[in-house]
Amino acid sequence: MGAYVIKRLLLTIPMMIGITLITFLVIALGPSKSPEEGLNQNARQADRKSTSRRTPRMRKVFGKDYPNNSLLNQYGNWVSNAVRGNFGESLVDGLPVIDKIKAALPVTLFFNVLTIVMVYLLSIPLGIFSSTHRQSKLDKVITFVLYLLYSLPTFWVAILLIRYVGSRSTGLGWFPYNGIHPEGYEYMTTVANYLGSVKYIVLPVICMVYGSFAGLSRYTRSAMIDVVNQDYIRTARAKGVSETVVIYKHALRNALIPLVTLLGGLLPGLIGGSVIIEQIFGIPGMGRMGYKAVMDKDLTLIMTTTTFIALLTMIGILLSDLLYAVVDPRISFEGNAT
Amino acid sequence: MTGDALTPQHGPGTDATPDQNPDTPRPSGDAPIEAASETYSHMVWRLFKSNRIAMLGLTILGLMYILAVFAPFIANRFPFIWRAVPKPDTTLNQTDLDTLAGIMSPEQLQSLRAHTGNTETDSTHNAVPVTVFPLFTQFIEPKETIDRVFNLMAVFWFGMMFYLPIMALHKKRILLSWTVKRHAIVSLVATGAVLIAGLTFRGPDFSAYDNTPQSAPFDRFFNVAVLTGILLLIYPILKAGEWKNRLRAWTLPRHLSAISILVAGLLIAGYGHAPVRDTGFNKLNALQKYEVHLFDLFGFFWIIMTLYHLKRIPRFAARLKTWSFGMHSGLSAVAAIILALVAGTTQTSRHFRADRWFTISKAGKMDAMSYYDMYTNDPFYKNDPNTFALFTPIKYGPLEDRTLEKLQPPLITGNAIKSVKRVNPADTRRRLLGTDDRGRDVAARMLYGTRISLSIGFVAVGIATFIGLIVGSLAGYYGGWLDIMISRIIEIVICFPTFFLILTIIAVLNPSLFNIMIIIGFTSWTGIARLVRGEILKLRRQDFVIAARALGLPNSRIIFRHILPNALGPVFVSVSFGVAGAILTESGLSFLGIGVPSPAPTWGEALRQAQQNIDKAWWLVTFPGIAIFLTVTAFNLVGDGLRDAMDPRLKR
Repeated sequence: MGAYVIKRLLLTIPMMIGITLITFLVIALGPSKSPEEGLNQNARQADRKSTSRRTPRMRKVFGKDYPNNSLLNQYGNWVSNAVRGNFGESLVDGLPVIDKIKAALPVTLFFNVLTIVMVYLLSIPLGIFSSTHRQSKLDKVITFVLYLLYSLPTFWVAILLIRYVGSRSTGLGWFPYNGIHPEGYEYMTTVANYLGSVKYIVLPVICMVYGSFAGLSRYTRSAMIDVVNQDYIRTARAKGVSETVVIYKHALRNALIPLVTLLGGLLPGLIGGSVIIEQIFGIPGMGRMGYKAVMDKDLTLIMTTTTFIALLTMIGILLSDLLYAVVDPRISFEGNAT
Repeated sequence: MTGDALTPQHGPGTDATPDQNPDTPRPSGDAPIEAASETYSHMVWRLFKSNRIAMLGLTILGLMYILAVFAPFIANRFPFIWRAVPKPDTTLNQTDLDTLAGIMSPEQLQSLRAHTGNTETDSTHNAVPVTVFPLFTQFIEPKETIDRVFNLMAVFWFGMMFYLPIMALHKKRILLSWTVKRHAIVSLVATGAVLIAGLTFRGPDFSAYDNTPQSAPFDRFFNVAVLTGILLLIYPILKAGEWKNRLRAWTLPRHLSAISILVAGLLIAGYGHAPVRDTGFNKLNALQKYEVHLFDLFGFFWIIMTLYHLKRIPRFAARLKTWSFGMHSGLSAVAAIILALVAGTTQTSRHFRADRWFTISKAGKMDAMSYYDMYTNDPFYKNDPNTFALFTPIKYGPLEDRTLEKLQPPLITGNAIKSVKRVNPADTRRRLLGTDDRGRDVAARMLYGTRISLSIGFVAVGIATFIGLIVGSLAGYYGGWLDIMISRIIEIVICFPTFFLILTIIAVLNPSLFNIMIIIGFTSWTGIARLVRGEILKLRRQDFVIAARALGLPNSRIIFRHILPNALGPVFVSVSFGVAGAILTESGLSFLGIGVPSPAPTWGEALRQAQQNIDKAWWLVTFPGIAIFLTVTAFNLVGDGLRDAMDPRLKR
């Protein structure tokens, strides 16, 4: 187990190099070097105005003779700086990148962890319910609704929620939908601030939860049905074990195994999806910052954001792998770690 | 579904819909025993057909496809125009006006002069418009290619109608549900209508993008002719039944001989008579000249190939028989050639092409005066007994922006219509689904958006599948360090939040329709690669592979002919889900404003406008979202249905 963790952790190094290298090369080799070909007006203006300001900022992380050294040298300099914790300054406003990340990462982390916890808390009971009430009318309704939820585009749901639940003029006006802090939060106590924020995070969390929730519930249901059809369940029932024990002790524990592995698969999708959600709801998280960085061609910020997002994803996947071993004692990672 | 009644009857054991009693799973050997007499694909199709929900998804997709193909016939700001006498080009010079004075009333002439915006000769607009077969050029102009492809499909469809009656003469059953006779009548009528329409109505340039008069018109005649030929080439292959036979049908000389001479003839005949030959060849740019040459070369190459194939048939009598065997294609060949000749030689070559029925040189005039106003209210057209304009159900184009009429509510809200501002008060048209914040018709934009969404879905997933198949089979078959390397790369790409990678790439590339397709394709191949790798790892040790290797077959043949066909099943399922995912990704990108560039009518872009006008326009919120949702659901349903049909044991 310990050896596996170490091996796995060592494996993240080439993967991080691969991911950052791809990002770096995509930006460095991208054809639209000239400001005219830039994507949006902001980037163009930023390019024109700050070319003079950008180069010295780039030099701090990409090498002293930045525009003239080779790509490999630039990348090498970036890596050696990044390893020492020096991610440089944002090309746009000159603020240290790491400060920006420090502000944004907790927000995204909070939303993602909350989402994952809620997804699992909601979908496992629902999956168990519909597998035990298989082919009942309620199960069919649940399956149908989950199917619809599964195909609903997130941004559409977000807009619908804003219009019909969030908006005061056209909807119920229950929840505010802009930002995550209540008005005047600078002057509030911490507790009041957190309590006030609860209202703000309802809509975005709904948007983030429902898609994965639908997928996971369907998966739970099929995993449960798979297990319930096994011989040992029949044996347990034949022994006269009560149905509750059969379901919750014999079946559920085995059905959990495939569900745990799904955790790793959920993460990249969640983080990718949070770009749109954070953009719509004005949440100052990693997705929104990354989007803005990409639009501004803020190379240092893009590199750092990508690094951290990839790191986050990999930690998630690693965790799910380890959980796999915890949930299923039969699995040992020795010998077949790759 | 019409096919329901025709579902093959099978035993009660398999006939029961699996939804009714899945608690007692059928013995897994049941289906294979039943299927012993039928091929795997037939079995999958039978099981798929019995799944009503999956068929619903397929039906929705079919409807979407039809809407996409026939979008120009449903929403168009240009009318189809009947013109008994040649309508004068509005870029007329004085001589033309003098000629027209002989056939027109003074009022009409006056109105015409008013419309052209000036009465003096504008020499820049006097150039004879040069038409090149647009199929090829358009691939170089990425902006319009999608439309071209879909338009070609529409023409293909018409070509089908043209061909079917001839098949019916041979007493062949064409569609299971239709009797031959009924089909013959319907398709004859349809063919007649198409021919008449093609020869007399001067249709619009079927493009989702702006129909500037300068854009090369879509030359339907050549396309009908050529596509009929292509159809004839494909049809016997489709008729051949199993895929094995279909592949063989390609190589059978009897199919190639008759048909390919036809195609070659059409190509050359079409080009020989194209106006570029006698008028404007020298005015073409280098690229267009190459295009013409290329098509000529292609035609000749085809003829030579055909002769070669004919030569492979030993006896002369057999060669003749070849022709008679292909008589159905021969018959339609004659008809198609005549059609091509007619299109090339008659009046079309001169004035049909020069006759742009809307060529107002002052572009600014068009904003104030719509085509609709023009053909319905203008005395020149209104009182002209020789001109008749037929509008499509939605009388707006996807790009026709009338900023004065922005954010109009849709038709069903009735009462709001009164308060609507209009560019022209006499214009009484209603907006089916309202307008967006630039005064563009939402219904028209959504229709054309179907084209963009479907094509992005299929092309992106096509790219992803291609890469995934190759990479996955290499990794799975060869194993060793190649497998380790590829698996590592796949793991890296999977760790990468794809959406973010796409964002980064788009930031440095220019976001065009094709770049979006390529980017989505290149970032979503990992799933399929993994799948294929797993399947191949499973199959690699099987006896038939070992046998193939013992026979000394090369690795490429073992992979592509022996292993891959057996591993394709799950790939199809994955493709179906992948298309849904790609459509979602694309609309997400458009929603963020970095998808297909702005004037293009995408669903995501409509939702973006909805977000900006969230309190004002509920119709912008609702309809595009429903469209995305329906499409994605349909693809998911089809994917689920396919999965269940491919492996009935999975069904629960």
